[in-house]
Amino acid sequence: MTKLPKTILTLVLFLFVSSPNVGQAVEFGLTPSTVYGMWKNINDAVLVYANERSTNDTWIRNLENMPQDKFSGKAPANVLEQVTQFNTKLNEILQNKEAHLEELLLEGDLSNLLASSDDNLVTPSLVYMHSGQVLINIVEEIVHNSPTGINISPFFDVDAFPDKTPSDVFSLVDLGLRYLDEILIRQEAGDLTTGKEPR
Amino acid sequence: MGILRTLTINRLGKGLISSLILVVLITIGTNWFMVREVLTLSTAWSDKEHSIVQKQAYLSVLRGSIGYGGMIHNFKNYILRNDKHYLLNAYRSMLEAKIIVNGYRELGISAEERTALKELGSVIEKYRIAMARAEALFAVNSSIVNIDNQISIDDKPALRALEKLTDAVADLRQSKTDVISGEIGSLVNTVILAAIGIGLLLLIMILGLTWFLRFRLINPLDELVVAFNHVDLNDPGLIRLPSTGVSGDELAMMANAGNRFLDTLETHLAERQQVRDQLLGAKNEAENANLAKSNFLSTMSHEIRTPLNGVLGLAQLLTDTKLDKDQRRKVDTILSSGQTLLAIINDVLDMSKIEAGAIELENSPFSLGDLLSTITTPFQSLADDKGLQLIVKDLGARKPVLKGDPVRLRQILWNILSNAIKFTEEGSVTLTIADIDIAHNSIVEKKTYGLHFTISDTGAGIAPDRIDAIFGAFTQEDNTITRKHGGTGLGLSIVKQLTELMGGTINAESQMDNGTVFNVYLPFDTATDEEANAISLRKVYDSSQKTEPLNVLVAEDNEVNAVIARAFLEKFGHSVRHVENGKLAVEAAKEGWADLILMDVHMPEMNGIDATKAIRLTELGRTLPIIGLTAEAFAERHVLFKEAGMIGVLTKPFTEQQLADTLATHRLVERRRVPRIEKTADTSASNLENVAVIEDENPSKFETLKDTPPASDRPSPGDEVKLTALRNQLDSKTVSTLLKETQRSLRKQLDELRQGVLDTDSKQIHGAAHAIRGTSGSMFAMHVSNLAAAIEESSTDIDTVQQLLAELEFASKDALEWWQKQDA
Repeated sequence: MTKLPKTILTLVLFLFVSSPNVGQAVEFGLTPSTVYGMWKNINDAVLVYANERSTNDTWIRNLENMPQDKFSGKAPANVLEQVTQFNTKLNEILQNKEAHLEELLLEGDLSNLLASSDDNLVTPSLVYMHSGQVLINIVEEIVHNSPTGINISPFFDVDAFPDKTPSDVFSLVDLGLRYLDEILIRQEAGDLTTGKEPR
Repeated sequence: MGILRTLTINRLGKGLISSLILVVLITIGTNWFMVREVLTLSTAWSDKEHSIVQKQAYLSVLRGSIGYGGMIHNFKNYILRNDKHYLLNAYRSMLEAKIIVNGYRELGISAEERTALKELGSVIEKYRIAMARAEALFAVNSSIVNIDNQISIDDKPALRALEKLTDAVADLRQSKTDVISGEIGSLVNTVILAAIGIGLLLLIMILGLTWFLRFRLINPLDELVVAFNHVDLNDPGLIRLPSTGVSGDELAMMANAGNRFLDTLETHLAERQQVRDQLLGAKNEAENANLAKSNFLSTMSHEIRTPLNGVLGLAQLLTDTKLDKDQRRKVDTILSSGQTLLAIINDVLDMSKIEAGAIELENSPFSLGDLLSTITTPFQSLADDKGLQLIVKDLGARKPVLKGDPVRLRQILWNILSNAIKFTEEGSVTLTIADIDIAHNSIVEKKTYGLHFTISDTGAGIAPDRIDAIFGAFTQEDNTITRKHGGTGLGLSIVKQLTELMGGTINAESQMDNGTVFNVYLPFDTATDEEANAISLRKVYDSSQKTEPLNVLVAEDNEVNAVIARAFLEKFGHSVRHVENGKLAVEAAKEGWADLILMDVHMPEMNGIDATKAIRLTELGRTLPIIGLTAEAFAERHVLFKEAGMIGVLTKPFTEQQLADTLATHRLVERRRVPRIEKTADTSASNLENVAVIEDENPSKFETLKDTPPASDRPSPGDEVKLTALRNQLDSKTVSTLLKETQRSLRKQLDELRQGVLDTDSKQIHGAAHAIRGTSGSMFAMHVSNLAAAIEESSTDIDTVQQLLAELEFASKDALEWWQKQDA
């Protein structure tokens, strides 16, 4: 499907479902456990990315051994906020590659379906959508930097992590943010390789 | 039905309000139900539409994610080119497809959709596995052909699943349309049913209201109105207002209240009718009593005064006989007492008239000087007898002729002067006449002229505390006066009331031992020049003044009266025809000869009243003037005569002047100018007794003048003064004829009377006595006339008649001798 019909269709769908008469939230049935599995893959992808750009094994190992903090009482909105921060930092790291980082999954429009038209309720599905786009972006960067060297399929594995909560997801995103903080520090210190030119 | 029977307006009102509230609630409920149904339908439609639209959108996304440009397409490119960007895009599409499949499940799916989604999920998972294996194979540098051979995935299940989902969405839309249409139809049916239900409810309410209004309100109200219209206010008990008989029904309460009102009204009307009947009875009794009183007074006038005249006459006759001293004293006492009694009767009659309001004052021209002379002349002799000086002072400068009631004025002055002379033993009695301003406070009725009469005496006077009482009825200064002077005490009361009737006032001033002064203030009108001239001309008889001659029929059974009437009428220049009874008068009237009839009331064959009625029934007699001749002085009787058709009544005996005046009054002839009978100083009051009363004159005037003779008057066979006056009016031949005819008639009538007594024939006695009464009275033999009247009144009592007849024989003998002497 080309972008135009997709966009029109999505827009019509949005207008219809966001009308006062059909003001209902769209839920894709995705759970914090599903989002949790995706962020496992994202953090793995970040470590692979760091490893691609650094030859400092110690630093890599420190990253890999960076502990995951415990959080509680977090809601999907808190998680989404962390995801947004993650994206911001990822943009800083990728610098000249912001253009394709702004695209969201399903061309960035379907995510609107995931929010309640009444109260903008942030659902796990919305967090999943944003997280999926993050995953695509980071994997794309990995692919861009190493077109053949790294298998990306593991980043799309679906592992079962039953009974995870938004706090658990928040903890993983927080870990990923700290990875990015470390990468950004290293990148600003000039300790990382530059990677390929932007597409 | 019990409720309906007891349905009242109050309950109806409450019921209507409740029903309206119920209808409103039902309407609101129905509307709410319909709105809810519509909202539910709308929500269901929205939900289903939202679901369908989402599913359609998801399907579109799924086709893009899985098909061309999606997961399968990118995967195949990856196999062919070994470019991980295609692999990444394949993963990206896979993620989208997985999200959409999950989301599709959340929209609510059918079993068919579930199967299709399961197949799609299975295909997506196979491709994920295949993408991982292909990447692994590329990692170990396997050839594309080898990889393609090792990885082979059947795409058809995915395509079939997509087709199934597409068909399911289409079926869902159709189903939704059917369901919604059904629900709309159901809703419409519900709305129709609700409308029908509400309409039926309103119809039932309207029918119920109509029923109530018709049968419980309008019909009963109509019945009430009809019943009310039939209520007879004169007898409200005849109609009862219809009651529905339902307790608590307002109309029943109204009907019951109306019936109670009618009952009360009936009771009140019955009571009022009872009171009215009582009042009517009382009125009738009063009228009967008044009539009885009038009859009594009339009877008393005739029944008492006639025998009293007999008593007085006999007593008078006795005084002419030889009596010893004691006998004379007793006869004098009889005379005095009789005269007193006669005065009392006259006063009582006058007072009764005044109290009954039966006195009507006349307003006729009169000469004050002449009137005064008729008063002072008789009193002069009385004053002379007592040694008193009677002084008359006329201080006025008025016209000689005034208009008023001369008879009543004379009565007033007569009474006061009479009292003054009566209560004055020495000195003088003075009558002063002066003019006063008509605006004087003492004149109540404002006319054109005021006179002030002052009667003062030098008598004993009246005690100051008794001054006001002397004008009361039956009041004298003290009781000793009655014993000393006699009288009823009515005189001054009559004077006061007559004065006030004439629009004047009267008062008295007195000091003990210094005499009394009476002041009388009276208003009069001034006579016109014509009236004054007429009065003046009456004093000058001009026999040459003849009038238009009339044919006069005289119906009179009494020959003497007939001769007198003929003599006067012929003297006036009229032609006279005489008939002796009413029957002949009727026959004569039919001939058309007569211009006027003088009709005696009491006649044989047919009396004057019946004759008058008969004449009025004839063509010629309808407008023929008829004047009654009667000896009855009472106006009540005169009314009867007029009702019979007489235009006037002339009381017998009458003078030439009275006959002339009567004719003039009725414009039958020009008033005759005859010389007035000049009163002389020795003319007694009895001389005035034959002054006739014309038409409605108060009989009391006649009685008063007739029966107030001075004490010095002595009975005589005849009244020479009147006979002299008659001689002045007629020629000597006529008078001679009259005297002869009178003697002949009297003898004849005496024979009839004697025969009647012998035969004890009361009718003949009555007729003969009546004839003698008229004959003798006409020629001024009043004693004979009085005795005949007494016999006439006692005609059924033979013993009394016999006693009176003896006296009549004696008196008749004297009268016959007197007439012979006069004729000679």
